[in-house]
Amino acid sequence: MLSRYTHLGILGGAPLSAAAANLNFQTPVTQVAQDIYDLHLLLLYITGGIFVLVFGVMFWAILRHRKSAGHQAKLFHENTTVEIIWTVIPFLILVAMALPATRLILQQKSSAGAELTIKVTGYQWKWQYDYLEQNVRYMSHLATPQDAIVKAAGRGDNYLLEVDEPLVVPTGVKVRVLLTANDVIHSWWVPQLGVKQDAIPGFVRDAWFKVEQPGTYRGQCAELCGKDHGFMPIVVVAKAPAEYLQWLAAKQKAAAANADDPNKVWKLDELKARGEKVFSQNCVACHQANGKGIPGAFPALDGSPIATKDKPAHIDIVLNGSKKNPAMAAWGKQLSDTDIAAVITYERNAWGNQTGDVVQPKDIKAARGGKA
Amino acid sequence: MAIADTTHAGHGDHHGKPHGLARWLYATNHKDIGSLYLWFAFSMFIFGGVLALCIRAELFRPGLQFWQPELFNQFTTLHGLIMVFGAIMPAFTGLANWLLPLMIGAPDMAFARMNNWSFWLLPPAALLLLISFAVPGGAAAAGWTMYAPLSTQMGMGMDLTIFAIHIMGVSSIMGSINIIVTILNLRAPGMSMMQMPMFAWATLITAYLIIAVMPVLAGVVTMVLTDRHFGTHFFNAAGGGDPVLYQHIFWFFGHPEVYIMALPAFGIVSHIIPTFSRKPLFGYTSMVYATSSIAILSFMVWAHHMFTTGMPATAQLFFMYATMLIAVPTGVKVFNWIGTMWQGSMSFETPMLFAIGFICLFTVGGLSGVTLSIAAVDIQLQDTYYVVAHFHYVLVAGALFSLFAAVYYWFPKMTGRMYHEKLGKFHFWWSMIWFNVTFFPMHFLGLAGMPRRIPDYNLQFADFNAMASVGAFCFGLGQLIFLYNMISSIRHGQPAPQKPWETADTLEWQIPTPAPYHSFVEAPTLEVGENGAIKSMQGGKHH
Amino acid sequence: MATHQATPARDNRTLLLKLSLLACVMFVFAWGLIPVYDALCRVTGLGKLLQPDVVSATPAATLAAPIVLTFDATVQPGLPWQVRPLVSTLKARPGEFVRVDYEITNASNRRVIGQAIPRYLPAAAAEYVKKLDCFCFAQQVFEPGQTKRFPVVFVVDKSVPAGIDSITLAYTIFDVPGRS
Repeated sequence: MLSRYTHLGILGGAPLSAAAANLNFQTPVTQVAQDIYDLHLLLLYITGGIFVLVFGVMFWAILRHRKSAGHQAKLFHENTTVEIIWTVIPFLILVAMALPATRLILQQKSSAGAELTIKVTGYQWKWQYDYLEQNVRYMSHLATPQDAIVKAAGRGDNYLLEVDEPLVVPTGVKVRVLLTANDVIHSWWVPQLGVKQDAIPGFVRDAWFKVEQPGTYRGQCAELCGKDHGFMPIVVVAKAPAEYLQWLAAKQKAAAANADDPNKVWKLDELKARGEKVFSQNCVACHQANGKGIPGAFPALDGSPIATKDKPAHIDIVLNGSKKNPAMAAWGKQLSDTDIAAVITYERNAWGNQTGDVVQPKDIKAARGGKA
Repeated sequence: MAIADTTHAGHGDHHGKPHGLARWLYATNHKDIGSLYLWFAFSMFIFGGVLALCIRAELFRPGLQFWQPELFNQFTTLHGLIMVFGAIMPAFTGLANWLLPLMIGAPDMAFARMNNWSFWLLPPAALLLLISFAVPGGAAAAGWTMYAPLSTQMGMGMDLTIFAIHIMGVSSIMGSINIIVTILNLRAPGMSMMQMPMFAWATLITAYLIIAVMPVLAGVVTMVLTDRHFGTHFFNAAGGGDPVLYQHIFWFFGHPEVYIMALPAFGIVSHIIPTFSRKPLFGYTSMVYATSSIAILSFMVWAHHMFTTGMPATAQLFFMYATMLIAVPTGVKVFNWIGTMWQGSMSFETPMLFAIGFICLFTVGGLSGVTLSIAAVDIQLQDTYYVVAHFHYVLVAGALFSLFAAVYYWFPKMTGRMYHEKLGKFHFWWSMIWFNVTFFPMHFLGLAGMPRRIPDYNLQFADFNAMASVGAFCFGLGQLIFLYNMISSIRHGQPAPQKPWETADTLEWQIPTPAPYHSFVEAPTLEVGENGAIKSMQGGKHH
Repeated sequence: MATHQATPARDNRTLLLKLSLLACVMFVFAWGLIPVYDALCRVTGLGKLLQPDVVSATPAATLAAPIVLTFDATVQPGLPWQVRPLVSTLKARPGEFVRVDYEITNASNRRVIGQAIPRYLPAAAAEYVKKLDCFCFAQQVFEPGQTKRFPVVFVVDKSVPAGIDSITLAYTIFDVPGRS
């Protein structure tokens, strides 16, 4: 049997050593994660000891005090001393467990003295990172292509744990994340950092970490948040402070360059190319890369009346979401006018939809506020 | 008095059994209703099990093979709801119905017609859950916990689920009222509370828990319902509400619910272990107190399900300490069972095997529970497969194994025939092995960082998932052995003696086998020892 | 088993009466809770986030270590606003007046009403931040495309415990339904 499992693992591309390495927490890279690791190990030894002791006694009884071995039952049914002992001893063991745990909880909760504050907002189904003081803000999407998920094409080691834009932090700096959410509850979890904190819509929570070693640390959303809960990973890249500053400067420059002129008139091809990217980041999960949707759950765009004929309705449903189907979000707040114009143009000119329509950013600007 | 009236009405006609469909539709006999409950629970167990296998099939390999993520979420949601409300709770109510009157010398349950109603509410509720797969948007997909605001986003499948929960809640509350009134008022002369069988104690305490918390669940899902359709903002921050409030209310129900599913199991095991150890239960009094204190503590620990919501440190510490405290009475129970086995003269028939299996697996679940109770460590484990492993050890092992033990143990009394012993033992070993193959690797998956409720995963989790899926299918298949054993033994089993187990000493073993359709129409006068052990019985007529 | 003899009909009527009475009491109790909660909030000062605080006439900065203040704002879905603090972080000693400006732009071309709710981190800091002026004290009405600046003026109370060395003031801004 065992060899068969290993065989399956190879077929799936899993590294052979993975099974051996993954019997415990991932390697901690922060002090808190290390403390959790150690505390868990301590608990494991204690509970393991209890297990062996208790079941040692039980199996001894099963072995020796059995009828088939000719053992006669002794009809005692209480013993106050023994009962007091086995109430008090577990209690003392629990106290011994609670002491280090209490210390660690207080440490986990003390986010004071952070030097960098990053706001993390959970969206269905992606993360937004906002460097409050540095004026850098971007979305982080799953980077694994749909083909890899559905057709097993080219699954790498970081399958489902890779994003287009990771969160970048400097090493040796206490980083505080402020967490909130846009729609439902999400949970921001990076095991190696020892951080898991729910992001709650309408409320703000915080957590902190301090990474000493440069590296890439991966995690996932840990609170069921709807359809693509399994497809919103978190990647944190820790860079040496100098490299971090370089990255930050580049990011700020790119943000300034990317700020689109709202009145620019775009050509069909430009919009379509940009729209395809926007589509693959935001729409593909439901409407699918071939635009056919999923019958019964998510409508097809290919050949649909909205995406081929009624342009104002198309703009409206993308901007404001669907009244009928809550799964269709209102994208007006998440995407820029240019992105929305691009994705609508793409949808009206992709697959079998060859309308030749071009929707300009200024059309979107005009449409905003038309309806709730 | 009302009670006397109803019980009398329930037995207005005791000239033989009614026949055909009417016997079941209009059933007021506690044995008939108990059987209905048990068969209903078993079919729900199969239904929930099929959903579990759908989940495991998808998770056998990385990638999306069979289901879209939305449908996968519907499976996980309905699997949880059906197993909790459709299988485990009705199964325990069914056992209580069958056994309580026999164990305490009552003619029937106190409110026989209400008993009928509380069973017949269940099938429509199950039907609502079933047809919710077919409505636009599909079944509820927010997890069995139905956290707002995700549950306010769902389609009408959520409304059907909420309505089903209301109905099931009403059913279990009525069942509980019946149990409480029966135990408090209808015990035969000579049986005091502190002599009652542990099973009666456990179901009594469970019934109180149900009455305390099912209205809380009904309330919180109603709040979701009004948030969805009537413009309230209980869980919507935009209207001044708080999504975390949902979790507080839900888990105020949810944690006692865990014990609703575990305490009756404690009761069952407290009869089976002594019987097959040929010794009285060790520490009966401390068992009663431990059960009560578990029930009371269970109201004070709910927020340990919410350590990652960002509670202040003081709250985390309080809930951590309170949770750890539950380990003490739970430990006492395990030690008492082992104390019962110690110096016994044990034999290992199927019920005993399942009871020992229960103790082993429940203890594993209890120890991983202690690990989870440490808030600092729980931060890494919350919402991972470690939690999935933990509660399956507690619930599959705790509830399901004890139910199997109970059914095998009381099968001769219920049907008048013996089950097939070899098949029963095979069923035990098969279940025990594949249960562990399924759920033990999940501890490692959770430690390594696999979140729960995801339809697809990174390749590093592939091996253990494949193993768990193979285990799950084998475990599921094994339950057909049980079904076959039950059906063939009901029809062709060896006739059972009045007392198939040597030292079984509770009241139900003092009456003929199979139990007469109308037992104890006149209350017997008893002389009782601890744990319902009958020293002498006078009177007590049956029809 | 019946301890006394009474006609079932009379028994049932009495029971019905008792149960109806109980239902009435429960109904009155549920509605009666509203004034009780109001009074409770008045007495304990709960739910005062959206009202100006009373501050002693001349608050003076203490020599206590300065507290790091971080400002943030999150706009909830459905509200087409851009909200940002002009300063995202500054240091202030307890007892010192702090002023920070928030700029809000209505990006849509319709009239929109919004309401801001302040959230504090750590949550225990809420009772020490005394707000004198805040755009959260009232619903804010924005004409299409309008931009406004609002000063937020507050004092961190001198009694703030030493353990709190940083406070985050994060507004969540919601759409007020039923806008014109």
